[in-house]
Amino acid sequence: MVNEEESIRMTGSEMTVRLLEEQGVKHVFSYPGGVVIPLFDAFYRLDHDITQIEPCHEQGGVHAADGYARASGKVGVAITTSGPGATNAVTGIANAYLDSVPLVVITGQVVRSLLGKDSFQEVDVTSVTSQISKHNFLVTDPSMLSATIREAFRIARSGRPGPVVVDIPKDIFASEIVYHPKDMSNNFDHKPKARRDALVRAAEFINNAKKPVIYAGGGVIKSDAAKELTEFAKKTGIPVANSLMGLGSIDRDDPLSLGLVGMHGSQECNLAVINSDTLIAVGTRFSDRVTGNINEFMRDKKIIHIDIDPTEFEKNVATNVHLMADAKDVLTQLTNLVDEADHSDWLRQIREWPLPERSSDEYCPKNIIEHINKRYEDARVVTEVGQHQMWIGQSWRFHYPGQFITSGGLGTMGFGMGASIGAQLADPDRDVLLFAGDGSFRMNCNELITVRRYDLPIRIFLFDNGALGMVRQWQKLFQDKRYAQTDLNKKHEVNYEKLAEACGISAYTVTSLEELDDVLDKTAGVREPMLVRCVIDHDEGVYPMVPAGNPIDELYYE
Amino acid sequence: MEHLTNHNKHRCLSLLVMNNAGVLSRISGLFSRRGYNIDALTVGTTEDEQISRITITVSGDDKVIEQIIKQLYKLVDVIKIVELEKGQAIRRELVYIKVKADDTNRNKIVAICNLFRANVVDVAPESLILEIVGPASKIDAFFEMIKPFGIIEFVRSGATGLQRGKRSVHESK
Repeated sequence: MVNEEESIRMTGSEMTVRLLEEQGVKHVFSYPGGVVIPLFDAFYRLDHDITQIEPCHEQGGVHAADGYARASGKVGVAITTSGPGATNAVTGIANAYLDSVPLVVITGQVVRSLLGKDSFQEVDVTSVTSQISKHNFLVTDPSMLSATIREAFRIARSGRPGPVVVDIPKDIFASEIVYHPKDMSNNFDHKPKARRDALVRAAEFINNAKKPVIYAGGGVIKSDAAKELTEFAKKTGIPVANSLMGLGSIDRDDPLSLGLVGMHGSQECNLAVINSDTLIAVGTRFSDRVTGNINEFMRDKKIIHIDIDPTEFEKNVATNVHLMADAKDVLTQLTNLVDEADHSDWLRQIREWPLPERSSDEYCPKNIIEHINKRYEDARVVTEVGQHQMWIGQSWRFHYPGQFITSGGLGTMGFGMGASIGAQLADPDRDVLLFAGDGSFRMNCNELITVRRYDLPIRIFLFDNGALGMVRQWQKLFQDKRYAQTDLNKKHEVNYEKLAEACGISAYTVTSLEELDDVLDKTAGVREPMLVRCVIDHDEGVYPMVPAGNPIDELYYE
Repeated sequence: MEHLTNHNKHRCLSLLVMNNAGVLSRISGLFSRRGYNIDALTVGTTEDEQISRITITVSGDDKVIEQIIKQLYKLVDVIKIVELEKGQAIRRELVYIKVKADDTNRNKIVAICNLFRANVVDVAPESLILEIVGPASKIDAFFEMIKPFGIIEFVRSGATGLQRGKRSVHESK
């Protein structure tokens, strides 16, 4: 229990540890360096229950904090040193910003008297991160340290969540400050409530709709509204399309789930969305990857837009009603307001749209994924970025919110290695699968060392097509097969199995569904990290595909 | 020389912001990242030393202005934004114009200045510096009258202003 009466003199670094404890932080992803020596010393000396996880590179550390936040629903915390430590963290911060993930990133800074003098390992971190963070602070006064760190956590998780950077000069860590403990465990944020008139209008549109579709994004997962979304869909009989970030917000096995929409959406889902007369968008931002040609996307439909961030309204599409509020609250209220409905004709029409898929005994990504999926139905699924990510988005049967952890907005190759580390630490008993392409894997495979160091039983499925397959696919379709720099491993310059084994991680290679099943049999129940390299065809593509800027009902098949 | 103002497109936003380090770069960074154009920007202190007032003149239609205002409100340091609308607010700009002038035409220029209540603030054998304060329409008209004499250079402060009436920006909707 926190005694709010007492006040204790301590150093800034000791207080930083206490402030993280106050916030309920259990893991920090931290990498030491010159200016954060006092902070790490405080972690070393003090009695606390925070576990420090040391990545191989700060980028991996921030991605781990990101994966941790997505898997736990809490704020992820990363700590870096100044200069290169902070700039290495930049991609991780930008990734969390684009996907609205709550992080607090503490960067050490040179002592205040050396600020602005191009001192050793000095970078103006608040300037560098100002456009890729929700907010940032440079602490220039020791007496502001506690208020700043508490505010950073509040900002990170309030409203539309995001990363907050706190840049702390070394001498602030060393200065003596009076610490006033504060109980932060009941520190709930005020969430905006939807306006009644807008709710009533939205309900009217929904009740009058003939061909409605729900388009649900990551906001549904962030506001813990998956249950409410499903109840709303069931009462109204309206099918649900998901953006990449929204997968998991409704059980993929639910008859109303249409799966992924957009550039690599299925024919049934894309046609349902574009031909709908009423689109109910929840916690999503009409990304160009979803809408394709925006005018064609609009096609005489009424749009109801629900989001907690008012800047999303009218940013990419004009809407008929918008509801600025927490998705959980809006969906609960809307479910009460709308009539029960039957859209079976519309659903029947949608179900007539899918095209035949590849045969189930072919050794191809879709079937590889299905074989793995059958054995790991409830595993946390983390991906890197590229073709394998889209195959997972298309084929995995997601059952619960937060099951899918992927880099949506920024599309960060190399995200998955760190993110899977964070996801495993947040939820140690659950199976964590990392799907990677060989290109992404090369970006941050240094973190294999971290996986082994902390004995994290992550199962890595490496889809090895010897190519940067997604870019290669575009080159095939739009650059007349001029494959500029997208062929990998032509000289067999890397042996991925040996690379994993060098880090003490057992590795397997499979080239058929039978071999895959054998490996899955052999490794079932084994709680050890492993790498399963699935060799796939060099020219394997992601289909269907909608070329960028085209209407989403113009789908290309191979 | 492009100095004329298109009154329809130019809109004026008055912001109260926390006087924190980096607040100006956050705001200018937001404009550049989102592709909005700042036509003019002025910053100054307010009656509260922790708060600064920024006046930004931007071009754009209602949709663009609405999006700008919403994006600005997302910045943690931004406290309040009002649009200084024509009629509802006074908007003034300070301009200095260095104009060619000699014994043959100096009096003519001074006479124009008197008509516009502009001041002559520097006199040299071959030039004058003129100072004028006013709304964009008055300044544009003044430029039209002075241009034929030969403008050497000029500087405009950018618009600044306040809403009319008793209410302060804090009390505005």
